[in-house]
Amino acid sequence: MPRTSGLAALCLTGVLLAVTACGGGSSGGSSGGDGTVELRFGWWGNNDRAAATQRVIDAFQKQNPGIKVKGSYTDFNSYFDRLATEVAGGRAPDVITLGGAYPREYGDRGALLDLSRTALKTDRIGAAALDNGKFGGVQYGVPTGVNAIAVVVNEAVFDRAGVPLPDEDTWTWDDFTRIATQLAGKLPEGTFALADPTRTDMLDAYSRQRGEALYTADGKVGLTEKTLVDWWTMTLGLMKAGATPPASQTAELITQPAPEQSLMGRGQAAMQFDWSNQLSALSKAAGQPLRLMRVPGESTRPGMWLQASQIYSINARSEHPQEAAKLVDFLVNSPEAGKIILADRGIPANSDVRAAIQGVLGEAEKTQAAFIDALTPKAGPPLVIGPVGSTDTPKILDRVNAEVLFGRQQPAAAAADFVQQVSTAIKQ
Amino acid sequence: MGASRWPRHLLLIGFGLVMLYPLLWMVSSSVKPTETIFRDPSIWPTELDLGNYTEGWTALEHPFHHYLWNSAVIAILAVAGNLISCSLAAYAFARLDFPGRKLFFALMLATLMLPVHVLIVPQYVLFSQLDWINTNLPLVVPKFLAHDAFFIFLMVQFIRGLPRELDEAARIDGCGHIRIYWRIIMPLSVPALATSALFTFIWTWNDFFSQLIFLTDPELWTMPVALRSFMDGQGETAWGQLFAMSIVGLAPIFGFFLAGQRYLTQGISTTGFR
Repeated sequence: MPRTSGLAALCLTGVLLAVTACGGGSSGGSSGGDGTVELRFGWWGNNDRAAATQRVIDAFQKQNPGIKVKGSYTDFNSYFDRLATEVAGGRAPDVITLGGAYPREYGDRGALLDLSRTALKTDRIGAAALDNGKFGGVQYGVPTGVNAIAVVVNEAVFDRAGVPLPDEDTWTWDDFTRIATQLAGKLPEGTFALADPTRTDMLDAYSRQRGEALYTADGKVGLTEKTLVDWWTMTLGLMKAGATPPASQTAELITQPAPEQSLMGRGQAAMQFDWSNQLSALSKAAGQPLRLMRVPGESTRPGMWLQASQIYSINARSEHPQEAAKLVDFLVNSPEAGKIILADRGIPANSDVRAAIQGVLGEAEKTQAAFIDALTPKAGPPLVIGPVGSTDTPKILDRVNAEVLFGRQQPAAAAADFVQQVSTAIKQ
Repeated sequence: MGASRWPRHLLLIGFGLVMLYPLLWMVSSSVKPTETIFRDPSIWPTELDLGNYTEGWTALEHPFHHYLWNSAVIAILAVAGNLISCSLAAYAFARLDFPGRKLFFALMLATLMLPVHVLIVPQYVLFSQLDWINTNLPLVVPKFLAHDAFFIFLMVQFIRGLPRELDEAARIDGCGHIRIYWRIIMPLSVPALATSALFTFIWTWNDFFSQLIFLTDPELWTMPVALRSFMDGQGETAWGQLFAMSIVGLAPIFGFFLAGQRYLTQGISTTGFR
């Protein structure tokens, strides 16, 4: 054997051994030898939320010495990429955080545990939000907190324009159009009454005020073309009056979803339709306190609803479902956990927890809590969550809306197009 | 002549600045306070604030050099693995005559066409059964098994361009394959090896998706995965710190590229080898 090739072979084995050594020791078993149970808890968020969540986990472990909890987190988009892979690979976390239409997607595919088979208590949690975790009669998840679509209002911009604030109890869509047009005439160049308001949540609220809904309970498109035509006639009027930005700027804005990048976040809008839990981020970005108001047109037939901001569910294949349920119970029902999480995952859905944290909330969170409290008796029926495939709807709406704003499609044709595209997406 | 060159240079410099604009904007944003980044999108920062660097470095669960180190370990092992395994495989394809060589070569090239999204789930299942999830093994071991078809292909093309007479002369002098590989082919393949090393480093350093999937413990996070933790798609994002740490993460790539630029162009233009 030549000397040099022997050397090369030795190098190769050496490196391979080193690699194997690196990997040892860091693999996590699901239960330790001493009888402790190890749970994995998956959630999304940034490092601030990570620090707070770790404190909740520490508090839980102190109360339950037999259970060890390992957090597994990343940002929102990456979280769902990873979760899809983990579920497909049969190694998803024991406690899974979900939101929007995801609980239904995962629940319908058998990845989530029926929570009635655990000892989890839900009696103090608001019924409307609890409904967001229930599909086909099975409770797959419990809400972390409550949210609602709202109008974020920048009072300073109203003042600068000398336009009085609307009355949220009585204002109609006509009032809204009038106020927005009035603002447009008095605001400086580059500041608008609001960004283009077209988004699926608003179509939900707007159509529900007419007794329709974006989706029907049996998983079909529920809003009529007439409603869509009325909506687009209104938004086109706003754009022509200069109350909303020109089409090209709107096209730019929809590619920048972060609150800091929105017109409201940059202090360049008087109003914005957004989720109530965005208030803190928006206020911080705009550099001034903002208000929340109910959307126009609520006085005759309310279209707003209470939405679970996030949902905790349990992996159907978890080896320790009872321990996982204990963790979820602690997260949503314990005032101790609530005092650490505060309003970070929405205003707590458990009324006891909400009462316990009232005194420690910041200014923006207090505004949110008051808004949710005031909305609760006035909200419409629970929202019908979209069926499998409905996660495509926002993209379809963005596309069709651009056609309308750029004048390439008349509202009537666009309405037919939208209904047809969404029907195809949810049929698949 | 000198006069006719100026307009062309000005045009190229202009294009260069347009291409560089996003990067320059990121550099400028990294020294602005987060609140003003989007409120004041101009490229000249009104105040120079290095707080994003000092705060960003320590904002996450571990200090930022912890993640840089994790990235470096994986990238360096990946470079070593690719250099050893891909050159061996390339030598076999280029110089050995074995049954099914053409078929295997075609199969290897076919794996280049598979997008990562198709591979990731079966890979995850496999590594999960080996209990390798949450370790560096899934990111490093495949590199030692000639898993990157692109580099095998690159080196095969390069070795095919080397005159066979050299091998034959060595054979007459009594060399076996291993010695020909190590003594004749490898020293002549430095440009191809350098290209492979550079690309492996850059791609591994920048790789986000597989590192996200296989490393779930914040202790093991690499730089790209850690950067994500400044973001929150639904809430507040620490943009200033994110940009500042992105620039820190870019620096090694930039350095590597500057140092190896000569080899890169030399290695890619293998067809011109004489």
